Amino acid sequence: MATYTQINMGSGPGAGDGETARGAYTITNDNFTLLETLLINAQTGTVYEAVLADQNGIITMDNALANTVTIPANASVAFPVGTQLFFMQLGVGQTTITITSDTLNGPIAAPFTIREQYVPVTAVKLAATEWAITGNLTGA
Amino acid sequence: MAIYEQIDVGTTANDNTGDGFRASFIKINNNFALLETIGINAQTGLTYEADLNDARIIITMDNAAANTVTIPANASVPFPVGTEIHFMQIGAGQTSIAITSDTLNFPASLSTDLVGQYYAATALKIATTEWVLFGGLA
Repeated sequence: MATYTQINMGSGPGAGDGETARGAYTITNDNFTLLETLLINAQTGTVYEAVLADQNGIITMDNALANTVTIPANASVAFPVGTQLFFMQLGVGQTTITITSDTLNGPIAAPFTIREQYVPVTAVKLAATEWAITGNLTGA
Repeated sequence: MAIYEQIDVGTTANDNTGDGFRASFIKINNNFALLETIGINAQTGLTYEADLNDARIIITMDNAAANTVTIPANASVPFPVGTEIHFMQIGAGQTSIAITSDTLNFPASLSTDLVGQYYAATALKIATTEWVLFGGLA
C-alpha cells in the first residue's frame, strides 16, 4: 500500500515500549523503498471502490466493458485531505470515476469518463467531502 | 539500484554489523534531500537508453535533430513494477520513446513521439514486461 509505516515511539522517553533502533531503521528502509515506485492496484472487474490503501497509488481498470471506480464517502473511508488517487483505463472498456455522497468537481460536467485506453487521470481530495478530478476526461 | 540509500540493519539485533546511528541518519538525510527535487538526466545526443538510475527522474533530450530514448527490455534492466520514467524534449528535434522487446502501450489516437519542444511524457511500468506511455504525445 502506498502509505507509510509509522515508527512506534513508545509511551515516553526511556519507557522501553517503543520500536527498537533496528526495527525503526527497517521501517525507514521499507518506507523509502515504497517511495521508489508507484503502487499499482490492478483491477479487472467492472466496478471498484477505492480504499485507504489506494492512497497515492494508481488504480488500473482492465476490462473490455465500461467500468466504474467509485470514491467512497468520507463518512465511510476517511482519506486525508490532500490524498491523490490516480486512475488509468487499461482495457478497451471506458472507465468512469464516480463518488458516493460527497462532491467530485471536474473541468467538465459529470460523468467523468477517461477519454481512451492508456490514459490516466487524477483525483485530489481538497476538503473533507470535496474532491477535484483532472486529466484527459470526456463527458457523457 | 535503489533510488534511496538503505540503512544496513545488520543480520540480527545487536550483532554490531549494521550502520551506526550517525551513518544511519546521514543516509536518512541524503534520502530526504533526494525527495526535494526531481533528478534530471540531461542528454544531448541522438539516442539514449534508460538505466536503473533514471527511475523517477526526468530524462531531457536536447538536440536539433530527431532523437530517441529507449526503454530497455526487462531482461537486461529490471526496473521494478511501478517505476515511472519521465521524458522531456528540450531541443527542437522531436523526441520519440521506444522500447526493446517488451510492450509499450500508449493511447491509440497518439504516438510515442512527444508533441514538441518542452513537452513531457511519462512511462509507467505496470507489469514485468509492460509499460504505459502517456502525457504530451503527438
